[in-house]
Amino acid sequence: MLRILYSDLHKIINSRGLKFSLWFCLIYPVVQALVLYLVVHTYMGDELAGEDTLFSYASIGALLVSAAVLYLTVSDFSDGTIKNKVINGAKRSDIFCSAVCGGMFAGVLTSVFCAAGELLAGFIFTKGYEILTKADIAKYFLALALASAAVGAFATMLVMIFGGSFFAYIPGLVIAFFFRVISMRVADKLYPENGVTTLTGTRLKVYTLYDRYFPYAHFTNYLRWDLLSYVIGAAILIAISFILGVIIFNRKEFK
Amino acid sequence: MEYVFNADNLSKSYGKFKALDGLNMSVEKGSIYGFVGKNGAGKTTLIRLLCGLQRPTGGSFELFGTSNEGNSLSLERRRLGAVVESPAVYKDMTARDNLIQQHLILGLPDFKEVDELLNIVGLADTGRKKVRNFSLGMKQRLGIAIALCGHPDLVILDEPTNGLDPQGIIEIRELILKLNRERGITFIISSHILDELSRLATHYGFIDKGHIVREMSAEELRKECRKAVRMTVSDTGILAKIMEEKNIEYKIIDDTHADVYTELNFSDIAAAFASANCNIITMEEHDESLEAFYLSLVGGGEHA
Repeated sequence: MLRILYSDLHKIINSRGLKFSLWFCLIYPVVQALVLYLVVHTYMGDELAGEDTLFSYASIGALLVSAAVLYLTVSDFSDGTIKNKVINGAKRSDIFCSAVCGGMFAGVLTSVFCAAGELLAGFIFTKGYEILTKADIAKYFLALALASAAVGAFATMLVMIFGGSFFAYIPGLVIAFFFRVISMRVADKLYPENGVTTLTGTRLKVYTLYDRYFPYAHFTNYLRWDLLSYVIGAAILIAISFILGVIIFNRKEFK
Repeated sequence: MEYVFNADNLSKSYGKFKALDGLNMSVEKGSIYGFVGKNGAGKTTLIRLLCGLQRPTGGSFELFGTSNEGNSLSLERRRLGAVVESPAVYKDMTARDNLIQQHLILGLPDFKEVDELLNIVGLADTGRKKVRNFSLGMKQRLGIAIALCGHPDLVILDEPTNGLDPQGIIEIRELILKLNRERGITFIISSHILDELSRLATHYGFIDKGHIVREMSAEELRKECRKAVRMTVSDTGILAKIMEEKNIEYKIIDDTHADVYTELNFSDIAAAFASANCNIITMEEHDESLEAFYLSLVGGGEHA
């Protein structure tokens, strides 16, 4: 599998779509912080704190990773390069696992570039971090990288399963959007702006479980749980992506 | 006779539609096998089964003597190169990087043959130009170069001259002939351009409605398609007698029609027929092309 993974990573690094996503990840937080700086500094006469810039990736991370993975994997199908690997006698499970690892790599790379953009924005436009320590910031970015890897794996699995058909374009982005909406709703219920949560019983448990372990809910402005919860959540979604995907991909018929 | 591919009663169904229906086919080692059939006859389906992209619903096949029913076929597929429908290329890479990528996928120890392959397909001077900006012909040639990585024993080309200009078609044809001659690579080529195929193929398989209607060598096909004089006479029994006496090759079509395969001296023939009391009604040159032969096999006027 390693030779296929190596070739996949070689392809990912050369991909125009990924390069575009990474530039976007780097510039987007800076532009967003600039706008915020102009508003706060010019009209309110106040200064930004470093923490104020740590939200760019959280709001769009899952969608961005899904879009990047979609571009990479769908083009593999449309250009026939996945078929080419099957023709050359590569095991389907190896092809699938390599693609999922590539999706995880793309996800992590996206989060790293966004983190770099946010740090750069914090350095240029803020007076520094008021509450968070360096360790907190490192943990925050690590949690986002884990969530990005898990979403990258899951989105790749969806494309590999539906690849070659029109439906390949839909599930990854729809699911990312759907869970973004759900995550916002869950956060509203668990952490209301005024007072404490009104949830009780099973509903509270389900909402808490989702918020704690589901990677799509981990794209937040700050860490709500310990790092181990993020690791467990990401590991479970990655494992599901591998197992379910390998079973289905092994039976897939290519057009 | 050594075969690289053998299909035995191979079937493939999509729901109720039978794309392949008890197909039997053999491809000799070292041959250029022209695979001819209408749209929807089952050509691409067979190629997909052969390449492992789909699984048969019935029957079996052998690739390099290994049955598809075992687990070792994927190893044999490493001796296979293919361009199925469109060339499998990475558009964001150069031609050279694409070949390096294929070497990585195949696990080849070095990239020494990359430059040689680029030379063979005439893409050595493309430099840093991305495949995205290649013409269709260049992509097709790159697809063939990718299929040639790792010295395959069998190369499958599905419509290799699709979208190529006349110069490109000639180049691809010469490339295939050269590789077959110099490297002994067996080719399976499906094509709609029968005239083009007839300049390449050493063997033919005519497919219709999911099964092979006829398999034959190029020599056999030439005999079937060669030029003849079609004679309409009052009695083909007398014609047969005269042709036997003159040692002329002929074929009786029906009671009044026959094809004669040698250049005739019309005066001699006319005199012989007159003395045998047989009338020659018409004589016309008759040239059965590959296309006409194909249509006579599958019995239709649809596009081949």
